[in-house]
Amino acid sequence: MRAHRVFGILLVAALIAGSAAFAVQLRPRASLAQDASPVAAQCPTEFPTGTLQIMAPAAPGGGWDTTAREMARVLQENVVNQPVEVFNVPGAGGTVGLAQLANEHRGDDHTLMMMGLVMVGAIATNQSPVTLDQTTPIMRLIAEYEVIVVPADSPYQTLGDLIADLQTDPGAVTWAGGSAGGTDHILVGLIAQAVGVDPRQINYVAFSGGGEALAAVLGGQVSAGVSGLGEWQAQIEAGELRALAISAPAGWTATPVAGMATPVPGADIPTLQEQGVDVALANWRGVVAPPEISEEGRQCLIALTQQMIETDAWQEVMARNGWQPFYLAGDEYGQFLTEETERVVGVLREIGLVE
Amino acid sequence: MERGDQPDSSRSRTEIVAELALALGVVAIGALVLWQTNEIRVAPTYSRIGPRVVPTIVGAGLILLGLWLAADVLTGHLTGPSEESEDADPTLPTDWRTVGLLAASLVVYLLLIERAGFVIASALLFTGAAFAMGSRHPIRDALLGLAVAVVLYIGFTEGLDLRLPAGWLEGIS
Amino acid sequence: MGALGDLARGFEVALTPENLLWAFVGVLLGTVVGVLPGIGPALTVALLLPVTFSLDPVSAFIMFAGIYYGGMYGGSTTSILLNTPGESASIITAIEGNRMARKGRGAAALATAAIGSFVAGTIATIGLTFLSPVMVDVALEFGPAEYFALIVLAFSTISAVLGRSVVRGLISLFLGLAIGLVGIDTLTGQSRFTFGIPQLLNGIDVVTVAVGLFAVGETFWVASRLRHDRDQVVPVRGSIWMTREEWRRSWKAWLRGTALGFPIGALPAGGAEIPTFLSYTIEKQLSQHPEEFGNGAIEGVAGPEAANNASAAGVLVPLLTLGLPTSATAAIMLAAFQRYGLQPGPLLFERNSELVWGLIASLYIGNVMLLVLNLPLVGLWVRLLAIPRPYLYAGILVLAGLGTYSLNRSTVDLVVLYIIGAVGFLMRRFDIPVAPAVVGVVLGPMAEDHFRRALQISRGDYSVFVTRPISLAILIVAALAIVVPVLIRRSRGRGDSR
Repeated sequence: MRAHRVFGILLVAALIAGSAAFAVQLRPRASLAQDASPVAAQCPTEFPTGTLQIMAPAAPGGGWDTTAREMARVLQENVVNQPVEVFNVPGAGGTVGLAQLANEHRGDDHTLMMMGLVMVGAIATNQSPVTLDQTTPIMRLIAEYEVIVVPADSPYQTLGDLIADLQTDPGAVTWAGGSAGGTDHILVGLIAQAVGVDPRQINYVAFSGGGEALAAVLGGQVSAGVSGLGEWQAQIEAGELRALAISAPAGWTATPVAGMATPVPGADIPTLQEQGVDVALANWRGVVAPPEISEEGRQCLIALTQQMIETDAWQEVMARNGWQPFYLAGDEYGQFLTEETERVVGVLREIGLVE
Repeated sequence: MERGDQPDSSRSRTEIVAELALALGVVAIGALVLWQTNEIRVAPTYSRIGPRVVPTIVGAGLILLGLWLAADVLTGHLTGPSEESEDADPTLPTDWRTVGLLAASLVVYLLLIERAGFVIASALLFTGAAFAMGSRHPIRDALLGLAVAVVLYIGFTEGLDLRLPAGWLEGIS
Repeated sequence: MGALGDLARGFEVALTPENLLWAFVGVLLGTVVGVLPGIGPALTVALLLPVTFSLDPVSAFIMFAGIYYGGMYGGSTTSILLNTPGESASIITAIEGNRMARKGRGAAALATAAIGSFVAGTIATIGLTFLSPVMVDVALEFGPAEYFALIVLAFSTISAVLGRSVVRGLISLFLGLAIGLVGIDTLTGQSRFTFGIPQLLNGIDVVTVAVGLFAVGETFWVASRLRHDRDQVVPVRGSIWMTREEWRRSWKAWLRGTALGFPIGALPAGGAEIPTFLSYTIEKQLSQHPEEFGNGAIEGVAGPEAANNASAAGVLVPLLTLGLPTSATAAIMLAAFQRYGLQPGPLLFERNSELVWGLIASLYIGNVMLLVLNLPLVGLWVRLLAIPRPYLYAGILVLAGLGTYSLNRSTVDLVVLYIIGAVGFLMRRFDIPVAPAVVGVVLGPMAEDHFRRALQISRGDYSVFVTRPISLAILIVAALAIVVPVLIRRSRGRGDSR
């Protein structure tokens, strides 16, 4: 009887182990030596000397996680001779991960953290004790632009129509978008500021997922919707949503997205700036390193990401995901982070989300 | 259903005290909710129902329910012990030694998972919990716990790419 | 008849020996990973997706369908055997399923879950094939007011899980509501009840609550009242398979569960929890053995499991026709489609007709595979129950810890789990039912969000809930659902009053 029970346990264990092994086998493993590029000029030594880790401060499956995993794959297959691993530290708009980076990984130049605009807002709304000042900026990587849409049968034909109503009675215009204080909310706040409406008066309805907000717009439950272009592109193309504006700067050039009918999606949507609303907002993502890493380590990480950006594999990743290039390295990126924090916190304060 | 008329009257008296303590606990949780509700910042944004409304309802509800329970107990409505289950005998008094051993195993697990790593912490938890629940073969239990932990560890880290702390076993793989 | 022809072509694409193998592998992986507590279908799909990328698109989708359905189904296994639900949609399954397992009918519970999942999955996939365009139009009529009404209806579940004492059941519900308040307020972004702990900002995961109350709490309860005199093994009583009586009681529950799960799953904010709750309530109301509910009633497993899997297919309706990801799993699937240059949405069926119909055909195949794989496994799984008691509970604690910790790699989550476990122990000690707490954790935040959203859109006009026809209709049904059983009980009680 006893042997019988142990057999049961072992069978279950073997089943789990067997399928795990199978999964391992299926995952494409990169041949490491193959085309490791020569190390760039700024990085005098062999780097990295061990496993490179990229933290995605969010759950698997989201934007930061996807970007981190794509980056890890491109790095490992094309740039470095060491394994590149992604790990997730979800929670609180990335500020849990940020705190861990600043505390547990201090001085570790083999760790990067994926981050972006949302983290800038989350640091302020969550009153995070750790801020981006405490990290070492490495590289800003990509951007996705936001679109403002209305249902196809909406009376609003142009952005001007919508803004006119907003100016008359701000509360009557309902905006559907993602989480309170997130990119979508920030954009609506910036627009209100730009057209002379008190951001506190905007009637922004926060939905928990992009799908729920989209459903609310498609069903005509709200006046307008705000989201990343990539998420709502199919509906815009099909004519079920009318895109009134894109948050890209005037005169931007879009890079093509794989699998879409129009060669350059979003390019035909007028920008906010072209329509007299002086706002541009990129939902950008980039990587930072922990505080107090050596100057050499910093240089090497910058060189590494620069090499990665130049690979064909990365270009392919960008096209497949519909990401726009938004590169900015090192100190200039740090400067950008400071300015962006100022702008975001400013608008969140005006909206009333931050004291 | 009420078993207020239990034969052992001293037991039912302790039971009344325990039930009243429960009622007090519920009221206290309600009060905690109400107190913490005052700490919620109400953003001056456009919203008709603020973030404090529902917490206030929940906190007040808990207080009322606690009072209701107390009234029920004092008027002699005791529900009596829980229903039967295979492994537990609800008529027994609480065996604090077993509960304590189990709780200690969990505390050890909590303290060790990031220091000693998942494998060691899990193996110890398995051994400790098995001992608490009546097994008297610590060595066999430890080996079994270790095997389970290693299989789970390898499955998670290698198969699923989810990282678990390696701890003291870092480097052995 | 266009859909039939397209579907036939889809099967042509999907039905090759090689693809059948991939379907099998997908179902196996999905089930095994889905079985792990804390790893629900969304994470299963996210973690296993990379595996599919090395295959050609059709094979990848077939394997993917297997992973999806396997992951949806896998959660029920641990719910039934170990009282450790892997995801929110299988929490209800744990209530009756684990009771059945403890009475020696674990195999029947697993079988009714597997067959129910198959029946529901297949019917719902048929619905997906033919009804999608119609359903989508109705689904978009649902705004926050309608969702709030739907959740009010789902709250009627409480009456079914309240237990022997109303006040104790309500205490449990309100504790659940209080736990659900922890975290960032969705509508205004302010933190609530986080006590300055950043890990609490995202709220307390409902799976952590369920595992804490059910598995950890129950383990402590057993530990505190350990029988020292008993044979430790739960024998399998009667036939290992479902008896004729169990079949008779299951099949209607499967169909009713499907009828609830598919349409609600197709609603953009419907989800899988509400239909499982509603299914449980309805089964209890309609059952000829209501007294068995809470002690292992097979309808209470069959209905919610069917509802769960039907809603999984329902989720695909808005995803494929509108490009609307309405669950975490769907959001990950959307990302997967994009990898193959598919943009789900209104134009998908025109542009990538072959792949889409191949995918739909693979859903049918995945469903069959799920049944083929899991029925034989039932015999293996129930052996888990034959594990000596110390190992069973030790194993439950290890798995509960692993599942909770691996979600966020955070010991804070473990502390939360153990505190909730202690609460669960006390609730068990004082005969407070734990199920209402879980209902509160799931439905409370949804109800609050939708209620406030509705009022924000109406600019404070409370009449939205009764002036919108769908909302009004659901609220009337909810009122009936709460009042009618009470009236029936009254009249019955009068009939045999002492």
